[in-house]
Amino acid sequence: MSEKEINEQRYFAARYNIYKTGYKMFLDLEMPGVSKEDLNIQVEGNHLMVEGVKSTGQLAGKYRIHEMKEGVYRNIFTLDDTIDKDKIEGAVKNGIVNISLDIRESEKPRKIEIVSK
Amino acid sequence: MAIVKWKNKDLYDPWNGLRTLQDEINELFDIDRAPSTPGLFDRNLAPSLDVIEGDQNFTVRCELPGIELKDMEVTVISNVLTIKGEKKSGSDEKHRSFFKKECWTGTFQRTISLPDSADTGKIGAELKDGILTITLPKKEEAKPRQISVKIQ
Repeated sequence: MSEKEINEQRYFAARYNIYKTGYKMFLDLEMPGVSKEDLNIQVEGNHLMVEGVKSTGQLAGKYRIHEMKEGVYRNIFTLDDTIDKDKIEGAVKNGIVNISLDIRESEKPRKIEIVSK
Repeated sequence: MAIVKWKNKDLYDPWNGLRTLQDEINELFDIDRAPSTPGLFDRNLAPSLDVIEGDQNFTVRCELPGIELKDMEVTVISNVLTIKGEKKSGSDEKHRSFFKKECWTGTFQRTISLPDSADTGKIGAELKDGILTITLPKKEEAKPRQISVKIQ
């Protein structure tokens, strides 16, 4: 993307939660107005990019109150080596994007067999 | 500027403090300077809202990500519109260990007074992708009309 294109496009970061349940990491992003078709989740190297285009455009008429921002949500996260990059799943519901990331099998605790000699 | 009054900066100016105060107050209302992400002590519990007046109707839009229809209530009493509800955290919240938590949970309420020209009897609401859209038609007498005038 050229510098000009970046300047023309307005990006803002969505609010997010990162949490762990058992051996699974979850990422919840608040992206109101983003449907399944407008969502783009990409893994490039060790970067995870979540981009959502807001479907609510400008309405014709006079704005009496204007608090909602227009533009594109874009959050970029860095993934470390403990995350299995092949097992990343994404879902969207009610404007919340939920991404589940698996922790590599090699990082999970394992029992070591004791061999008696 | 052709000619400017010469001002000795070393002299004490009693109005100077007042002028800087005015600049500071103006800066407070400079919305563009406000950070887009919530700060450490900011609690943004009021959801963002848009009110748009069109030719035929009023549209109220509200950002409510992660809020189910059953946890939300929209009421109109005379001409006061109230959107209230509760954003619940997941049922397995206790088993989660958080690394970062920016999204708020809890109750919220937004109240706006509607203009007299809005017909509150024909209110329609829709929740899609975390955005609540409320449509209120304008009263017949408030809609723009074209009146042809005969010129004789």
